[in-house]
Amino acid sequence: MRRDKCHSPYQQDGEKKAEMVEEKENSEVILEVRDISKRFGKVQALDSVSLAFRKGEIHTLLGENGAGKTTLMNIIYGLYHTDKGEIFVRGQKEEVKSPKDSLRLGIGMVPQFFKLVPDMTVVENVLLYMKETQFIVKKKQAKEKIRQLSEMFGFGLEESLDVEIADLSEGGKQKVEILKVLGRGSDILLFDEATNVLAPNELQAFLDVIKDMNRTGYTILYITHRLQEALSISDRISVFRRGKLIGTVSGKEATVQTVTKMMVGTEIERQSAIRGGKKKKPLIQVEDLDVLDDRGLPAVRNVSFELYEGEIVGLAGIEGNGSDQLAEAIMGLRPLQGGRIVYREADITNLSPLERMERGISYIPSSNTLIYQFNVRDNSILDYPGTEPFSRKGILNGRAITDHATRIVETYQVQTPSILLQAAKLSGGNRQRLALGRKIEANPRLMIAYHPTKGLDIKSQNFIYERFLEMEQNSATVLFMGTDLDEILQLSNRLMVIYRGEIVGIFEDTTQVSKFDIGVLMTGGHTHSEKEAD
Amino acid sequence: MFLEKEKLATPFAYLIALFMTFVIGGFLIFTFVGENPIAAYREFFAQSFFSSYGILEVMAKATPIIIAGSGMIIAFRCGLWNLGAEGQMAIGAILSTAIGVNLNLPGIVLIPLIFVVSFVGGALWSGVSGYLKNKFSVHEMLSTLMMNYIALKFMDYLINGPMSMPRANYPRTSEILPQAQMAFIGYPLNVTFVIALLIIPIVWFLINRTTLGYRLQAVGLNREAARLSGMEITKLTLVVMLLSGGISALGGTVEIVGDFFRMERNVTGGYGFTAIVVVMMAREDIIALPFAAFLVSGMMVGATALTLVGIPATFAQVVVGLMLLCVVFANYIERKLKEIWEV
Repeated sequence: MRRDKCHSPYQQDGEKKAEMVEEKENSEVILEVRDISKRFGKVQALDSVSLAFRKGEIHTLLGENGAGKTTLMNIIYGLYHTDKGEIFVRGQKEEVKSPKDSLRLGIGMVPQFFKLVPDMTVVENVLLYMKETQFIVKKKQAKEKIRQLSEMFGFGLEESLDVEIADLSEGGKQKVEILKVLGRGSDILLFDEATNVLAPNELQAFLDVIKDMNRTGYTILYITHRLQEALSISDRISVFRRGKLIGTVSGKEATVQTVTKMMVGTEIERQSAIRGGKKKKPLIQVEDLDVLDDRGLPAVRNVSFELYEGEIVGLAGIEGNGSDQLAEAIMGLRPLQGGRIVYREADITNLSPLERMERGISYIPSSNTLIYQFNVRDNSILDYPGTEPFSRKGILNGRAITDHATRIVETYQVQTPSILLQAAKLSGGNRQRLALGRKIEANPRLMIAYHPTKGLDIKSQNFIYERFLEMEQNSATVLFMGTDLDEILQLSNRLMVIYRGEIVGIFEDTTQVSKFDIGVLMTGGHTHSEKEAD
Repeated sequence: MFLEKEKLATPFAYLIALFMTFVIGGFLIFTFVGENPIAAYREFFAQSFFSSYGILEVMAKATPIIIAGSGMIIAFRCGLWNLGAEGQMAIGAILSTAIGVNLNLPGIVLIPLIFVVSFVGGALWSGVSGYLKNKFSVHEMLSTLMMNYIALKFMDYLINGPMSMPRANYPRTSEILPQAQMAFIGYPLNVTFVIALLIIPIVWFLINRTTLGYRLQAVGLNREAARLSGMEITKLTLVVMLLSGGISALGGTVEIVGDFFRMERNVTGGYGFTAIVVVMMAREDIIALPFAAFLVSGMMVGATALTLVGIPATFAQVVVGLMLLCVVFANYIERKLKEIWEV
């Protein structure tokens, strides 16, 4: 890691932790899976996995996408059924057929994507889930219980119990999800990629909550693909690769190198972003852009910036701060309320998305890059079904599409048994490779990518970084949007920060910025280093 | 091996569902009407699938259903709920009659003209719903459904007034010119049936082999992904509604040039509504559509036969309704079958 001098959100309370691990090593097994196997079609998602979880430990499941960690969690929670194998909870063999069973057994899951009712209050959302909730709702009693739980773990939601979910931050919503599980009385908690949605400053608070809960006796199963996070909170780490359990190590002894090696088989050297300055030629100028979101509220306010040929520019911003609306506006997918866009010395403000695509602008959104019901082959032309050679006089040219898809699958290492496989059956990393390949094959001069590595493992992430660096080498430009500062700083030459639709900082040299300062800017704070911005 | 078994699940599920239907229907016939259900069913099949006249009638009744359903499938695959086939058929019927009665052209010109004008009329009629959706976000399900009644009542008005045959005993128009009347393959099956069968590969090609078809499927399956990849959804919505309504309107045309030869009340026969059920049974699959259409029209023909053994016509309709319900239930059976077989 390049930036070891800056503040890390993963500070460990070392001694205390060592002490606790000692104690936990002797504690009883609360949950055990034996010889679990699960197939999805031709993919062996889990292959004879046996693993015992001890009472009161934080046990992290690590692995690349498709390694089987989420599958295992879903089996424990009863969302999937095993092909083979047994589950023991508190020493009893149990049949977990659905979440109803797992909840009865005291197992609760905090999902990766929140399942809350946006226009109901915090209390109402938790109530929906509590087992006390019968036909007649005893709201007062329940509210008191929820308040106590919130207080106990320092959630700080005591004052917001009657606030509607829609008005909470992502971090707040997650706390409500946790409250739901606690309110249900679960003491084995499953967290699936829980920190993906959090802002850097919410992250530490969240990890503290996890540790607090753990100290109170909750057993925590944790899935993440962020190594630092896993290392900082885990008592034990189990690493998965291709459906197999590679090994379980103590969180105390593990290092980034050892765990990475277990995950991918080989150690991967992360890319360094420091690259020599070039003579800069402007590619696109965005002037005074104003854009509305789907609700008709201002999402991008008065944004101006300039991008040059052959650079990677980071745009750091937390979800909901206008990054995607800005990207859509540049792509022509969202009308402008004001401002203009000049691209290669021509005003493109009034061009359609297809015309912009033909001029070399490309956009990879964070989701909906594929049509899952389509096969790999059909997905390979999603952005350009109407252009030669894929379409002649409105009729699709099957052979050209097949060749094109085959080339993408080979060049971008999409692992699939056939190009006729339904895209839904690809793993996350392979889906993204397919989407990326499709975009890059159109040979864009400006690539706008919004969190393209979301939920991907290190190998797939590096693959995407390499493609972007290649583009940069060929003097194309990448506007890399996201929340993960490590990633953005590692990849980009320059950096912009967006907060509530406004660019609150532009940094000309990413090697000179502090991650902490940017984190503060992203969440609306002010720092002294803001003066660096022009 | 596994794959083959999986493919068998669909027909197997339908067989089970049909068997269930007949058991329940038989029970009802026995308890409410007091007739012998076995005899009733013998008549049911003898008059529908197992007699030459019956099978021709089944195909004849399936003709407008297939055509209206084909149009509907194009819209459904784009995620557009065009439930207006009945009204679009009425528009087709009105235009066919107007031209067929009044324009004394040679058949070789007249018949294609009738089809083209009906297509354009139906397209514009359902295009209104597409326009309303694009411009004012009016849901097409509502607008197409409502426009059915406008078209049907307008047709009634024309039959009773401006287009009414002089000195008619009951409301109807004059007969269309002889050269506009299409030939029968064998009564009651008309050449229009061949047209219905020709529409199937055309629509299949449109959906699966053209850029338009690619786009409309993309929008139907994942609107957001389609939008993000730069597809112009409003334009596509309009084009699809035009095409869908145009084809469905031909369902009304064949009723005029291949069956009634004039316009009278109920000339569209509710086929536009029946087609909704048929399209759902076929799961929006154009290849499965004719089979689903035969099944449903077979039931309709068979039900009329039940009256021969003393079951009231109205009760026969109850049995048909029940059958459709059970056939829809086949989806569930199929899912279960696949689950069982997979283990």
